[in-house]
Amino acid sequence: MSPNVIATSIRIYGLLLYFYPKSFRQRFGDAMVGVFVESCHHAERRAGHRGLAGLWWCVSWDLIASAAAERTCSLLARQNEAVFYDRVKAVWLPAVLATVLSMTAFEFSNGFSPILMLHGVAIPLNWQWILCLPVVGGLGAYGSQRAGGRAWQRALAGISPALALGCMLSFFLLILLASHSFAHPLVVKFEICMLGWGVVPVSASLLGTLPFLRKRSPA
Amino acid sequence: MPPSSKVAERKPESFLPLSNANLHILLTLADGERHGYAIMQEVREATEDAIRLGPGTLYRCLQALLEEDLLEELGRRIPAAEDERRRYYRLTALGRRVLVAESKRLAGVVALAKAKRVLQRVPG
Repeated sequence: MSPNVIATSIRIYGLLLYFYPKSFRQRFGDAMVGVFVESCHHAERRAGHRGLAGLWWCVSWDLIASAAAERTCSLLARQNEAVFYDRVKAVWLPAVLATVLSMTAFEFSNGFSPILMLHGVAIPLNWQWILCLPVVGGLGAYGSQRAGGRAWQRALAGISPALALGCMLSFFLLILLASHSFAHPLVVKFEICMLGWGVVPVSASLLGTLPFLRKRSPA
Repeated sequence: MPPSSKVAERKPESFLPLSNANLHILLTLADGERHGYAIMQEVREATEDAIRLGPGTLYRCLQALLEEDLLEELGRRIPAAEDERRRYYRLTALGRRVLVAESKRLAGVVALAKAKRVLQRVPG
C-alpha cells in the first residue's frame, strides 16, 4: 500500500480533531493522532486497504459520538459559569428569532406554491428539510453562546443559521421556478409543511434552549 | 483546586458502578502502566472485540478517570524508536481501590446468578 494513503489519512484525522472542543484537543489531540497512526499501521498490516477502510468506519462513528458528547459537556460546563439572566438574554432571544426566521423561510416557500401548482410543480419539501429546523435552532443557540460580546453580536450569531436556511430555500425555489423539473405528491408536501410549522419550530427552540434552563447549582 | 484534593475523601464505593469502558481501562492498567494504543488493543483483545474503543472514546474515558484521580499520567519517556506522542498512564492508589470494589461487586452479582442457577438456564 502506498504510504501516501496512510499519510493522507493521518492528515485528515488531524483536521477532524477540530470537531472537539479546544481544551480537549489541546490536551489529548497529539496523543489521539498517535493512537490513530498506530491503528492505521496495524490495520494496514492486517488487511491492507480493507483494514484501513474498516478503521475509518469505526473511527468516524467514534469521532461523531465522542465529539458531540464532549461538545455538550463543554457547553454545559460553560453554562454553569454564566449568570442565569445573561443566559436567558443570550440564548432565548436568538433561539426564538432563529425559529421565527426558520418559520418565515417555510412560509416563504409555501407562498410560492400556488404559482408552482399553476405550473404543475410541487415544492420538494422532505424530511431532510424538516430535520433542518432543530439543527437551526440548536446552532443558533450554540452560536449565540460562543459569540459572547454584546447583545447584538450574540443575536446576530443566533439568527445567522436561520438566515442561511432562508437563503438556501430561496435559492432552491428560484431554481425550481426556473426549471420546473421537480415533481412531488402534493398531499405529502402539505402534511410535511403542517408538521414543519406546528411541531418542529417549537422543538427547535426547545432543543436549543432546554440545556440552559437548568437552575445554576449553588457554588 | 487540584482534583486529588476534591476526591481524596471519597470512598471507592461512591464511584460505582463503573461503565464498561472505564472498568476495562482500569483492568488493563492493573498489570502496570500502558500507553493509549496499548490500552485500546488490550481492551479489544480481552473482550474479544465486544468493546472497541476509538481514540475519541478512549481519551474521553481517560480524561474522566484522570479528573477523578483514579489514574495518573506519567512523565513522557521517549525511548529510541518509540512514538513521542505516546503517553503512559497508571492506576493511582484510589483507582486500585475502586477497581477492587467494582470487581467485588461484580463477583457478588455472579455469585448471586450462580446461586439462582441463572447461568445453567441459558440455552446453548
